[in-house]
Amino acid sequence: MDTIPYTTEVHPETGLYNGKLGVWIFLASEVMLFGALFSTFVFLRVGADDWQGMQTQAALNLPIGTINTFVLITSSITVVLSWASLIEKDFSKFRRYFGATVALALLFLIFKSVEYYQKFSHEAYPENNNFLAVYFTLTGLHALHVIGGIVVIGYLLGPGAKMWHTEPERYTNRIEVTGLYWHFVDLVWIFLFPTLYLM
Amino acid sequence: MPIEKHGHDHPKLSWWRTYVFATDHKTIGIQYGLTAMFFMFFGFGLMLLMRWQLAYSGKPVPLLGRLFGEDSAFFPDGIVMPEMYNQLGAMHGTIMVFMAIVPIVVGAFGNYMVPLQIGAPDRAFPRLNMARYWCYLVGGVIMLASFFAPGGAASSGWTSYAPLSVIATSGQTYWLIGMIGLITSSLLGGINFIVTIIQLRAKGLTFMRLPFFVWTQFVTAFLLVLAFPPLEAAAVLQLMDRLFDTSYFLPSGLVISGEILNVAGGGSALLWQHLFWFLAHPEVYVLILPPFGIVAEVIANNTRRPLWGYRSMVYSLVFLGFMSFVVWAHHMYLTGMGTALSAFFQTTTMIISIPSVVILTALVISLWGASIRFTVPMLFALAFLPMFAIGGLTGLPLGLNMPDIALHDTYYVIGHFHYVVAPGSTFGIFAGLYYWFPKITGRKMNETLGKLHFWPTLLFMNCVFMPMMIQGFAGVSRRLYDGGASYAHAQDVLYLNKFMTHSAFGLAFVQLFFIVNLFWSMKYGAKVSRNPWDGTSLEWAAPSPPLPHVNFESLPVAHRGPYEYSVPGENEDFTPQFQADKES
Amino acid sequence: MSDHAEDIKKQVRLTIAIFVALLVLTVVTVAVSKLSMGVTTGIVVALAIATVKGSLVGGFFMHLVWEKRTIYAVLLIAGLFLIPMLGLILWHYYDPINGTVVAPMLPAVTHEQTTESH
Repeated sequence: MDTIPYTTEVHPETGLYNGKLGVWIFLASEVMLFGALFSTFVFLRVGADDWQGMQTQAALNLPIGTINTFVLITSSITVVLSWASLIEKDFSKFRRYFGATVALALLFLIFKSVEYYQKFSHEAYPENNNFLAVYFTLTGLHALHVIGGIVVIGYLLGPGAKMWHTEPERYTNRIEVTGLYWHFVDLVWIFLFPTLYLM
Repeated sequence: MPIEKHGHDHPKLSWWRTYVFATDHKTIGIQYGLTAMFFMFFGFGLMLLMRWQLAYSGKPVPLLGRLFGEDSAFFPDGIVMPEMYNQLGAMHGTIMVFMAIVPIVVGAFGNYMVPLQIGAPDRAFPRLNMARYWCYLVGGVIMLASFFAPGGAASSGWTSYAPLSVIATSGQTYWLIGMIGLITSSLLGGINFIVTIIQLRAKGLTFMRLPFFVWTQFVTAFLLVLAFPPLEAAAVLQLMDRLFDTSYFLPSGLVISGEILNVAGGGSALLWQHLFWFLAHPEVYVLILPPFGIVAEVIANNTRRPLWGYRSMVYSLVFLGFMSFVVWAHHMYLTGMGTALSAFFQTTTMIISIPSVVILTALVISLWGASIRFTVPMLFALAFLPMFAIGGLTGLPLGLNMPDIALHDTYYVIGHFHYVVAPGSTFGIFAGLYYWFPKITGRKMNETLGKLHFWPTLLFMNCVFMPMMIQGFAGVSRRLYDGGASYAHAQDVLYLNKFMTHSAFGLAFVQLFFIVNLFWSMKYGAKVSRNPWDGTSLEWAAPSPPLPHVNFESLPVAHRGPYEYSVPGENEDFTPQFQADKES
Repeated sequence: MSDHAEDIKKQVRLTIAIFVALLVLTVVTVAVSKLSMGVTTGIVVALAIATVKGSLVGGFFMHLVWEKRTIYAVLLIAGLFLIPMLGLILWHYYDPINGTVVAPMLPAVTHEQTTESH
């Protein structure tokens, strides 16, 4: 696969390497995915008799939601810092920051599980009403994206890290691209949080 | 011209990596082609069973009856039961659209030809390309496996309209999971196409020098990437409805068999239709744009002159791509849509017909005054023009609210969209296959067998689909198990059912010429040079078949536009893109 | 984006400033939601703050401010398709044929009620 141009060096016209353009197109499709879910939410909400009532009844855990927002934003910044460390060729600093990202992502999932557990123990299931259905679907899909991120970051920290010694530029690009995805996951949560917890 | 040399030291890959988990775009293209062709014939077979039932209602299908025996719930002694008929209809549509035509035009032709036509060694992400094929195969297998689910395969039509689909048997769950596989595959493919075309074009190959086929794939890729996610979302929501009893698509107080369904309610069946058609209308353009591209290539090559109005074709194509996202609700005029919204969608639908007509007209004018070579690919390309024109023009009444109220869900609709995809897309596919077969195998397909395939196919296609228009005008509804036999208004046109069925079996029979030709020519076809059709685009610079993993001996450079045929003052009637300028 | 060490240092400082802004905005959005505003105002304010936060993440963490034209084009196309999807579907809700009612307006039966009636 070494024959494919622009895997590490940038294309003279677009100024991009393949992976970066690829991940942005993927994110554009993700925008459409979450956009469709958001328009579902809007359509159901304007059509509902008493959305506020359903929301109050569901009694989402606002403190946990807020803390999770902090956690995810922090994990976003550790990704930026880890990438910056790679540019400065400081691999051990990179590992600390990138490891912190995985830890924060796991922390997010733990809080999320606690939240789900609280809901289930109060017999709040997706089938109860459409607010809970939207809540579980959107946060569930978002959590799947977090898990996907953890898998990728875990790979790049573990077996994938060998590439740093053979093709450092390509490895740095991979980190940048992963970062873009991770920021997007953060961005989705930034919109999900007020949509579900505050409105 | 590139110089012959064989010095490419590629480590020899294992058998598994070469043929099964291949990353070479050519191998993946062939995998796609063969798999999709299998699905296509399978979907065709389902259609034959349906046609048999419509013509000989309640009579056992010959031969197949013995296979299934009298215990079969849906197919006792080969008699198609109503439940079976619904499954056949839903699965025929799903298989043909998502597992046959799109994978052939995008997965097979796009995968194989786009890197060659832009002079690239491979796609931008070869391993993503492999993942894409396997997602497709897994999705497809899950779809087929649904026939063995309790209650049979999905039976709510290929549109899977809620709430019917939500309360359907477990086959629908397989359908949704299979769709998620197929959608993921299309997404990965679309990303790969866009990056490949933007980043990996050969030196000198500017956007306005791209062959029209590459342009169609480029626009198609955007449709795949941006239109599929909403259906993925909708599929997830319907899975939630089915598996976790939510009510996204179930309104309150839904009564089923006299009882109110015990769900929370508050959902909307319309929401499903919106999300579905938001994908499915662009999907129609995914089905038809790449065949447009193939036909443009074949016509330019066989008329030996440049495409008339290449630029206007490209601009129309891009405009078509944009417009295809704002016309979807013309499938939904009967859902209780107000006049303002309906007027909006009628207007956009009328507007979107303009670029299609521009492209078609440009292709027709390209024929004007040319000394046409009537090769087999050219015959298919020529037949494509009127067939697609019929398909497109019969769509206009459906795009307007008033006639659509009368014609909606009749056989007229079936006739219309089958003219677009059956003699339309498939003729484009056949044209492409006969045209590029020499590039893929180094051998030509047999012309006589090709003509024996072409003429009866053209005849039978029209015999199958034209009567549907007549039945539709008489008011015969689609999806009727008995083909309308129990309706008084259908009696005058019932005789057409037998005619269509016999034509469909005839159509199936003449495909044998194609299958025999395909396999015979792979082994015994006449050996040809690397540019047997005297073509101009970059794929003809590569050896036939192109070298594994690198395609070209040395990467080609584009010196001119894609259709420099019969340039005055040149010795030959074609000037390839890869031919260097003469010293002046 | 240039990869020089000095620029990186500058960028790290900027990133941390953005990070603080995001934390503050999170607190603000929660605090504002506790005020008793109308439902519509509440939604507008919450989404406005979310949009600001989203723009900060997109613009600086994802470098969109310094990005190349091709990527702007891709996102512009996605945006062009996203708006009709959101807008037209909603339009259908507000524009039914006179007298007919789009499904979700039917009275919502809560889960408890249906189970009791059986």
